[in-house]
Amino acid sequence: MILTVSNLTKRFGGVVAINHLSFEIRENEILGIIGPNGSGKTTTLNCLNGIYRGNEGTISFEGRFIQGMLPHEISHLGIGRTFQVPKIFKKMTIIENLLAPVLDSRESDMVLQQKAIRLLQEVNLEPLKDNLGEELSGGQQKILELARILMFDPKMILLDEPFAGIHPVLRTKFHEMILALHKRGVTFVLVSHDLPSLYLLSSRIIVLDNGKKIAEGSGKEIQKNEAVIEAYLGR
Amino acid sequence: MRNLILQAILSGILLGMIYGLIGAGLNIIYGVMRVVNFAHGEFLMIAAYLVYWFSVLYNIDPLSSLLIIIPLFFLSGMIIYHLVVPRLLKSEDPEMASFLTFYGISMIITALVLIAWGADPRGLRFPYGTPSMRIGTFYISTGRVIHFAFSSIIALILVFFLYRTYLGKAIRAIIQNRDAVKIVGIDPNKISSIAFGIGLMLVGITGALIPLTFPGITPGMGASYTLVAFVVIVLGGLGNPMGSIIGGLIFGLTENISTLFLPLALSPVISFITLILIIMIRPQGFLGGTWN
Repeated sequence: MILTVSNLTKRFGGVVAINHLSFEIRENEILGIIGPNGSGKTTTLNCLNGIYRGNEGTISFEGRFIQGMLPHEISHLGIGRTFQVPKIFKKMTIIENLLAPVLDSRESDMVLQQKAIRLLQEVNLEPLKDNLGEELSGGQQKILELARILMFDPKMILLDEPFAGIHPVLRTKFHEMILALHKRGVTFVLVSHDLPSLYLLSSRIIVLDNGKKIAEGSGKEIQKNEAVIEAYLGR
Repeated sequence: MRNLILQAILSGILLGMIYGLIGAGLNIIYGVMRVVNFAHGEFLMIAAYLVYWFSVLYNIDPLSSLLIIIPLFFLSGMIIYHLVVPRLLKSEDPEMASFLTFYGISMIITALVLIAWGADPRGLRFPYGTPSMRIGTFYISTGRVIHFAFSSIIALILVFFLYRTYLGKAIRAIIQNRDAVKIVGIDPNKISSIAFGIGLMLVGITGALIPLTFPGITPGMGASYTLVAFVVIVLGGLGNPMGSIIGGLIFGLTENISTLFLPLALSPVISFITLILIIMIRPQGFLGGTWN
């Protein structure tokens, strides 16, 4: 297992956002997480990459406990993260955005620039490399955010609503990127409301409701699960 | 009259660069941490008193004293950051919390300086030849020229630092998006402490050279420089250190040119009217919202 979450609980005052959540992720797996609004999906990602510290439970990545570590320390372990609203550097150029994760790298500037250009070519953003981040569309900003993570060769990528509000052509591009990276050995945790995309990409899906895991299985199994139908459609 | 106007423009540029550097330090601190350092002018005042002290006790001139002031203020900034700022950043309103905290710190500094050096103005004998020099038909203060030259060099070093070094690029990144730097592996705490150190170092440099530019050093002088620094950063663009230089130049020019046409007492008023007008036309300041 590349990542193990055991009994993770996260409270905000009296609200229990995650309630004794446990799951595991195998190396090179694409794990989908779904659930109604407020079910704890993003909070789970925030705990995995150190933005939040769980109140109870443990998280281990490659056998090492990471709860309590700070986000930048977790990213150094090889866990990348994107957000529903992309967190890019809007006043920096696209190429500068890509170079941000490797500012302290020992590689030469030329090697890093070449790597950044190659990544931008892969995601069709190379012609815009000197444009400012804010000049990209929302979908392009999401792709840029993902490309930026790739600069530090992540082992695992946490994607939060990557397909929300983007053009179908870009969504297809996103699918291709995820599958290509998966082929290269990258593990994914994919939080999305876009169920067709999730069924297409994920090998396994877990379903959260009120911070608890209510179901786990393949796309087909999840679609037939009564607890899931109840959670989405109401009792 | 033409000569007087040119003289005022020259003086305005000389002073403007000095104001700009004061603002740049404040702007780096605000931009990186959203901390409102209301004691900025008091740190400048401490540097001025230290230089005065070095001169009286050890006969060290202001330029040589920079060798002590620069590391001292940089390290002090880092220490103050670690003692105060992380707690402020946990507040629900860090800007208001930091404003009140640093206002308190400014009062403490002023009181301590008053106890240490008394209320009488102190000044240095100008240590570098004649106090004024002639350039063409203009007479200008040698101290201001030296201060301007140093401020310009420091501003150029600052540009190089921000655009060409790891720490500078990280500071620019954190100014733009504090959350994003965390996920790209940059330690915001480390960068913030260095930024606070740089902010105080910049104001320390200006404070050390202030005795060359303005004759009287008093415990109450800090407040007026804090005010100037805030005006300068609003003019240039909040969170944009290089915008502060532009803001400083506008402030310096307005202040000096207005003295030609209005009573001296009104010159600060004109500067603030300029501030209000610029905010009305361009609320984000001259370079605010465009910095990359």
